[in-house]
Amino acid sequence: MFSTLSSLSLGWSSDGLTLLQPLLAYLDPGSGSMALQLVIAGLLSGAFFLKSSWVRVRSWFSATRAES
Amino acid sequence: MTEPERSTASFRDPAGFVFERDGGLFRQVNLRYRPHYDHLAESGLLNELTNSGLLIPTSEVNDDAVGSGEAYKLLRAERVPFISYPYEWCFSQLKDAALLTLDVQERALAAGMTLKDASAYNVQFRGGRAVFIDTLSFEIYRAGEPWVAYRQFCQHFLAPLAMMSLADVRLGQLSRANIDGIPLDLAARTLPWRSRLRGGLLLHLHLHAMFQERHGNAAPAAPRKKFTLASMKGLIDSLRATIRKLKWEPSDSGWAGYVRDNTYSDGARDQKHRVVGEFLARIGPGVAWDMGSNTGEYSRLAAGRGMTTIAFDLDPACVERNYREVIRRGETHLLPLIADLTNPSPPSGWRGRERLSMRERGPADVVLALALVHHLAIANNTPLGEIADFCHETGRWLIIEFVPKDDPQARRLLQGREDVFDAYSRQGFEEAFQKRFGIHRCEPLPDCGRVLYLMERKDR
Repeated sequence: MFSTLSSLSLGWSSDGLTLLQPLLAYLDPGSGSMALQLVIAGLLSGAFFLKSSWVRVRSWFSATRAES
Repeated sequence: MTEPERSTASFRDPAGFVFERDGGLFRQVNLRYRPHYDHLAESGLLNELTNSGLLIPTSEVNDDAVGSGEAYKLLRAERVPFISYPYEWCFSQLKDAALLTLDVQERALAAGMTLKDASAYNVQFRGGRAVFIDTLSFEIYRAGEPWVAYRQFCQHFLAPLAMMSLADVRLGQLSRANIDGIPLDLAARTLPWRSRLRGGLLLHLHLHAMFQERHGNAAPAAPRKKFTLASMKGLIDSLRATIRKLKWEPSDSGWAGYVRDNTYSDGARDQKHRVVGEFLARIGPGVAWDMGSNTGEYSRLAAGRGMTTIAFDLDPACVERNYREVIRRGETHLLPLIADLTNPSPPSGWRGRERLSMRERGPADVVLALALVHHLAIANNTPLGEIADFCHETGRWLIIEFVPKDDPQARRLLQGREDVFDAYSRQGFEEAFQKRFGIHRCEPLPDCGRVLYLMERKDR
């Protein structure tokens, strides 16, 4: 299943000698596991954005309260 | 250049391998891993992880005489005092190992790297805390790619933790048979229906199992969408929240058993503490294995003297309580582990050499076998000579307690069964052990008929 990863990425850098090895990920990542991540990608980033925003808002309020 | 003999557990990753030489532990970094190792070092991630105690320290050594032709760097690695495996950990140890792995991944992402594997075997316990031991697990992060170690993380950590938390804590032992983690379909079938009500488990375990089943070994289609860095951070955050919500509280059965087992008077208990302490003082420094340690009351006498102490017990509740105490007190010399002495960890994995048996990880300098002999001899029908042989191969020094048949705990084991243990007597015990050990001291405990012995192994 190495092809899974190599098909997902063309990991060659422009720096001639420091080429990234396209097959460095020696594990079988599992097609199902990779597919699931792609399907839920939007959900994960959206949830993460909301959570981070909430944390920022909360810390701003607590900082303001501490100042006052 | 001499070709080093690789560790039998270090052959899967072409980035490098581990080997031993002259008592030192080394890791060869192969040329193909060069850009990743350089990024790890130059980005400051290696120092950051090492300095914060998350990654085992390594140092580069210059030794052209060692290593294979593929060598780029040679690292000397700090050795952990005792190699342990996920199936020997209690719930909180596995949970801490999972959270450590996610912390490492989060910091790696911040430095432009990612973990290319997330095996529970990449975590060990050092100084009482979980530590990541695989320096070559990092690769340069490539934008747009999902986490290649997601499947492995869920199989090695999420599935067993969910099963231990929501079904039965003893299911942690399934990791012993499934060396690459618990198959997600098995976990999904074993978990109670209510586990689907937890968003994280629904997503990362149940849906994950369905996707694995649906896609099977089918060749993957070229992806049409990217997995952004924000998605990756969201994935790690979601896994962390899911793991954190998994809880397990040891029931009173183990604790109550502990209290019941302690039928000593205060005088006998004080005397036992004093005598075990004296015996340990006579032995000096080294490694102690406390067999049947319960919650570690006597293990702490050894650990308190600076001895590296491994506290083995069969009961996951006792090991859980012991580990929580290690964390609470910040103890650095005590490692509690689950072990069934009547069926100890076998060698396993490829050629039976990837994961060492309990015996291969010994011998200890001193074995503590306190309030244990009657369990092995009566509950497990093990002849005293066999027990003496087991102790003989497990350590040089032996601190052992003989529990007579008329002791309340021995009587409890004999209840409802025929007493076929004619040889089980203090005289029979001493005769069996004197064939393998010299008895240095023998101290009867007051009010209970129990006797403590300090013995030293005879070389055959």
